[in-house]
Amino acid sequence: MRLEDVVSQSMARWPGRIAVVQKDRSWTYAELGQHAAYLKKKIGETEFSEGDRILLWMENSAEYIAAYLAILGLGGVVVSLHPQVPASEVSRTIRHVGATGLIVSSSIKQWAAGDFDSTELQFILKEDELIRRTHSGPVMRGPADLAQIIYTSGSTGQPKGVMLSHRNLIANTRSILSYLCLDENDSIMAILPFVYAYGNSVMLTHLFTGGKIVIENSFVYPNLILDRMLKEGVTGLSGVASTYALLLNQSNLKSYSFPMLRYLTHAGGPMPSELLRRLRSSFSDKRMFVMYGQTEAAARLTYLPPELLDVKNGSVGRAIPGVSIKIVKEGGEIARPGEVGEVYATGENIMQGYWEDPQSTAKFLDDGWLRTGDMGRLDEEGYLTLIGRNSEIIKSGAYRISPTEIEEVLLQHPGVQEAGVVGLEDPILGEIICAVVMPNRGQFPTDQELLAHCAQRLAPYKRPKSICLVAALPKSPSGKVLRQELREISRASFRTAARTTRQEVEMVPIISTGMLDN
Amino acid sequence: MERQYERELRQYVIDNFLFGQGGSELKNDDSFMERGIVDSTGVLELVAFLEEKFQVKVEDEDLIPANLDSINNLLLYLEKKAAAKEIERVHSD
Repeated sequence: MRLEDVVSQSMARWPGRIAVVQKDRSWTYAELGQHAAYLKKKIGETEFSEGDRILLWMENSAEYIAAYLAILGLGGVVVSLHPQVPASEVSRTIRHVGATGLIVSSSIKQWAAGDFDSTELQFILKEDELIRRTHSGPVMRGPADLAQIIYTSGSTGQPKGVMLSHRNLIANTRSILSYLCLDENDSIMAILPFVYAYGNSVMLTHLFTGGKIVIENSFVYPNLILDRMLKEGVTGLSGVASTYALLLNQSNLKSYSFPMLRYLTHAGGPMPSELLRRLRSSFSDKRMFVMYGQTEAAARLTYLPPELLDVKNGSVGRAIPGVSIKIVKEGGEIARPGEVGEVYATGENIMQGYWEDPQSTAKFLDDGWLRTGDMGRLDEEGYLTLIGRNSEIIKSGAYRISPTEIEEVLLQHPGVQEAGVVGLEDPILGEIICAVVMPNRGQFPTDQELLAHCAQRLAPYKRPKSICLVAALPKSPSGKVLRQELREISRASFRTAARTTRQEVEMVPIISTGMLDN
Repeated sequence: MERQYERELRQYVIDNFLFGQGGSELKNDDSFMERGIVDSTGVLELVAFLEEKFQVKVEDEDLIPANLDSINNLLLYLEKKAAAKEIERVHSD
């Protein structure tokens, strides 16, 4: 069975039911199927072959879902890019994944700049316009069952392409459905990007069950999301900690009630206990699912049943159906209940490996088990509590961000000699990105200049919120940059208190982010 | 007064969200959301600025694009808040 076959069953069973709502437009399952068939025909007119990787550079939309299904229907592999990524990242992905085609929506502003390298593509499809290319070089083949490659930040800086098969995605989607108990009457407020694992699972679960996906692509004004939830009578809301922090702190939530809303899900990083308490109090009659997963697991590894939130306080739950979890101590020994070690997981949902990266694949896939890089412990009943990560990845909002990637961009500035990037705890985003920079001798770039430099080269969610200039980066005697000290320097120069909550009586002004230490 | 408010708002947006660059291209009716100038945490910063600089209380229900999403919307919003404050003052006198 393939993903598109499962979705075709929904289209055949509920042709007249609404599949997608966005702004003032809605699409039935039949209309979604017709659009996918149209795109399939259009792409089929090119030199397309099975196993070809096609990039989707689109916002969440019905067109995105149709393109996703069309590529799979032709035997291709979907590689999605966040709509905000700069052209340079598109070029890099085209080269790395050996893409043969690109589907781009007209809302992508960076497209207009046209400064990305598309020489290796055989076609570009923009709205109705099919641009054919003459390139016909060798095309790498992937595993036969490969459905999707999701790029995720790795600790080395360059994003890694997580290879997910049809089997991986079907197994995980069915497992999620079994505990969320979704059916064709469910509808979701889709605010997470489909291009990443969590949003992808939100999309697939609803397509599998004939549910309705209500799309909103901006979370700048949460009041608009609440209005939309009410109007569409959504039954579910999926978010990360920052989604809920924004709803609680930056909206008129207290004036709303949602009679149709049945549940909330949370994943994508820890939720502070105080935030969870406030959330549960605001949505006291709704089921709250705390979950944990990774892109490498097609999304989901564990969930905590809502009725156990108090009993298993702080836990991310037990393994979802079809998944096994174990904890491995430093020496390789399996941990006993209560002992801390690295979280390993196995199941039908675990990825095929990283695209064109056998070294990382060998490092993280160990005899059928995925090494998550997360530290945690299991209790006697198999409930997992996470303790922390053993990598430097920054988790900000719904995103995983590599500090190295941002450091590399800062180092491209002629005035920068060394740069260190860290995440600083933030009540809204979980972590915010802060950079500490040592200027080149005799050069005095301002923090504003460096922020503008980053703004031109990085997607908005990867840009530092503060840049602090210092005489030298703190280092150990062996020359290793001391991340903890970078955090302390950043904390001293950037008062996160100013962005804490609107509930606070005193507003603390944001102090200057620049601090030249010499 | 409005000219002064406009200058101060523009300066704040240019300094904090455009890093001092491209200010001349910013039109008063440009949507901050559509141009990608302000994200959700940027709105919090903008609100903190309005409350401190113009001594207004931005209520939770005021957090909508019609009030905050362009220089013109901000000017209209401040005007509305000033009028409400004036009515309140007259009533309390």
